[in-house]
Amino acid sequence: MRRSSAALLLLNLASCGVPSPLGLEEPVRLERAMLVPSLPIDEQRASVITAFENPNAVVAHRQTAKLVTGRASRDAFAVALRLQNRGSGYWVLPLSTPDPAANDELTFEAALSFADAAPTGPAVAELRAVGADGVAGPARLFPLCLLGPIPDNLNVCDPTLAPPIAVVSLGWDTDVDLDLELELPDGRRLGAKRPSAGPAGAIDVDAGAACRHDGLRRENFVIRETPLLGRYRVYVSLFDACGQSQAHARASVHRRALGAREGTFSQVETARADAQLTAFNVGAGERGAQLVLEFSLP
Amino acid sequence: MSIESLRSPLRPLGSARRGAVAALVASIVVHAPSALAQQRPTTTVEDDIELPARPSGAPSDAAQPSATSALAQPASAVSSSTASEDLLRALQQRIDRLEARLVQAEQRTQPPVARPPQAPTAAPPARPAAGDYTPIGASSLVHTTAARPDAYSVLEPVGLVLSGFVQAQYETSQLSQDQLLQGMALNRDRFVLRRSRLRVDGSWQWFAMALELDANTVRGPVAGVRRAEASFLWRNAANNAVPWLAITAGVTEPAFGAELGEGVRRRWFMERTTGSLAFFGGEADVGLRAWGGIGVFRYALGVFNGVPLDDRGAQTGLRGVDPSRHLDVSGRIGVDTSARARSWSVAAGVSFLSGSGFHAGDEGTKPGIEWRDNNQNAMIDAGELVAIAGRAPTPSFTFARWALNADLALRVRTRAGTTRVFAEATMATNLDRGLLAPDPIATGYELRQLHAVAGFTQDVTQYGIVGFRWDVYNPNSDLFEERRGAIEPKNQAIHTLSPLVGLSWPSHLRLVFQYDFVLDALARDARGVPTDLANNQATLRVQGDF
Repeated sequence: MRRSSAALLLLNLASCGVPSPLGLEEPVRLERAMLVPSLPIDEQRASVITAFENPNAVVAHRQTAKLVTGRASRDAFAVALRLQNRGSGYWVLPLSTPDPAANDELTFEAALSFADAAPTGPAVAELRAVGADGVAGPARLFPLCLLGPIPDNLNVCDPTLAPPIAVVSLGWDTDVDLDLELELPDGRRLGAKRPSAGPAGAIDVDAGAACRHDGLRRENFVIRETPLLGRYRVYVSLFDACGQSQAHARASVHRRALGAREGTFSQVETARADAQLTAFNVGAGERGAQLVLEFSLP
Repeated sequence: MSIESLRSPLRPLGSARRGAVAALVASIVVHAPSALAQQRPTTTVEDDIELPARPSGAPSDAAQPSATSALAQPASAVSSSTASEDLLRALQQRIDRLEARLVQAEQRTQPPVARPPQAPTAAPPARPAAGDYTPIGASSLVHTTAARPDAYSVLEPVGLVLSGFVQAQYETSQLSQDQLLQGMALNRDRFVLRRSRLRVDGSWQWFAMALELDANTVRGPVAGVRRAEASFLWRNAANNAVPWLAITAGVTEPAFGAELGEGVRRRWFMERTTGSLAFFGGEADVGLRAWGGIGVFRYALGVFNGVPLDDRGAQTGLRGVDPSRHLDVSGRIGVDTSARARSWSVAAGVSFLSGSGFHAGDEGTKPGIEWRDNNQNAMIDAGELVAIAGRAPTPSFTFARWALNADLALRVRTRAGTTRVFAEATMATNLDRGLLAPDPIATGYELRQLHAVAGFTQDVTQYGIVGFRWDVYNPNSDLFEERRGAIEPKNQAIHTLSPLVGLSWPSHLRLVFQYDFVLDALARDARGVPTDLANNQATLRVQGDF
């Protein structure tokens, strides 16, 4: 009997504790919150979210610190949040100070961060209040539009919105200053030093300039409505290795296409090519730029 | 006759060693005149081990008298001898010397006896007797010893002593994740070279030195100085005693508590406790220490930079450089009866530490622009660009820290083996330098730390050991947090329960398994209330010594 009690005690000790994963694999994360794999739910509970505010439903790719604020009933202890039907559990955030202007309801401020792997398109976020016994009350839902890394004029969430005629996108895997360069059909050469061709399109950002990294590591050349017709050449140039030995880049072309239903559009990838650059490629200028892709419009 | 040829007929006698010695005595007496005739009446300890009990040309071992016949011979042999009383006295002295040398020779050739693991005590571990040092090579300049020098220097004036050890382990933790955080890997399931030490000790009549280098892979491959100290010694005339006074300078252990000076080679538990690691990231610091003992009393007093050198390698910051001119003062007084009692011993003491911490100032900033995406549309709109003015530098400040400590260790030898029981407690303010470093300059309030540890180890013959250790560390005894608009006390205490089992091949190899049950309040349950975090860990370690 004593042996079995000791074994049970050891077993309890060995299994005790709540895991605290970073949750980087989750589509959404909450700062200062714990990821709880499962949560008992009682839709009839009195613990409810009484109000919340989401200032912008559009979520940029890998957006961080997106604030959702609100209040919960006075008997609640925490709020739980997740993307409906996505992820592996709820993020639980303790409630904060009471709001004297709202019958002392307890307030919360959730800072959401969205993962690279979060599925793009429409999504629904689910908020619940958690009571003292750890049981969550009814859900309050709010819609989100999760954008991808390729500019699409919100087409991923509203197919009636036409995406750009074409997008040339260059992404890479390490923190280097890589530049997308294009040779237009009229012979002009665009790059970090000359990013715009007027109505014919422009490169959106000089990512990693001066080795200040934005985490996205992507540059896009966006052709909105009035393209130059003819052949485009896509180059990649390693301006500064930023201490890295090499980088892998992928160039792709995304074209506007008609949707399945009338009056709708979609964005499809029509070409793709990979390149590998080493620190030896730095500083070669235009002549050292590596041709990775060619395509023609229309 | 070499010692081996002497030992071979004696070994089968087993417990009849005294009879064999008697036979040896008889042999010496019988051939005494011949021995004297060879002009070798005196033999010093430094002489090569060769017993002139038989003249050259004497009968071989096969013709040597047996033990029983030799025992039967002395009476008639002595009675028939015409030697004077002086000769008899000289021979008796010589017999005594030879007996002593025989014992020494047997100690060198026998497998070393297991050294009992060291209980946490600030007193120097049992130091080897002079006969435990074995010359390396023919020169006798460099020695090794089965009683490995560890926390303290070799004190016997034997010259140079070379030693070292390796600790390699596999560790696993419930915290392990295949992710990075702030540039650090969160994987805790891995093989680690925890320590590999090479040590040279030098000890002479008035001076001693020690140099110990370490390499490990805890935070990536790193090598550094673990110990580099020089000591002046005023020796106690008693054999194997702690000196009256020793003044040690260099990279050495601060005089505080028992756990810090325990010695990583002898310690069975994998690491020091959470609290000890928070107070002292490494066992060594740079400074000056005066220490010694009178009878059973022990004392130590030291001044140090106050920046312990972490042998795992500093992660960030000043990397062991003391930014403050203020020194830490620490000391310990206590008793240690290990040199007197045979079946039991007690070591106890009280310690203090007084020093200063450092609040780093700012170096100033340039003006800049910050974008605040107030409407979260990922575009710069009106009112979202904010000018950030340049800021002037701010000065650094120091703040006071102190600690009090009490320690107790008991050791009892029984038929089952040696039992060691130990306990230690520390109360401190602003001393945490590793886990939750306080900064009263920035926060406006001081942090109080509490730390306690208790445990035991039990030898299971000389080849096994079991042990258990409990420790608790609270890095901030006055912490509160706001939950639901109410201020609630937040318990940051971390309890660790550490059972261990180990196997040992005495003095050369150890295999130890330790499981740490960590009980804390670092996670939150579904209500947002702090609860225990799943962060238990297990370690399997192999240690090899020379």
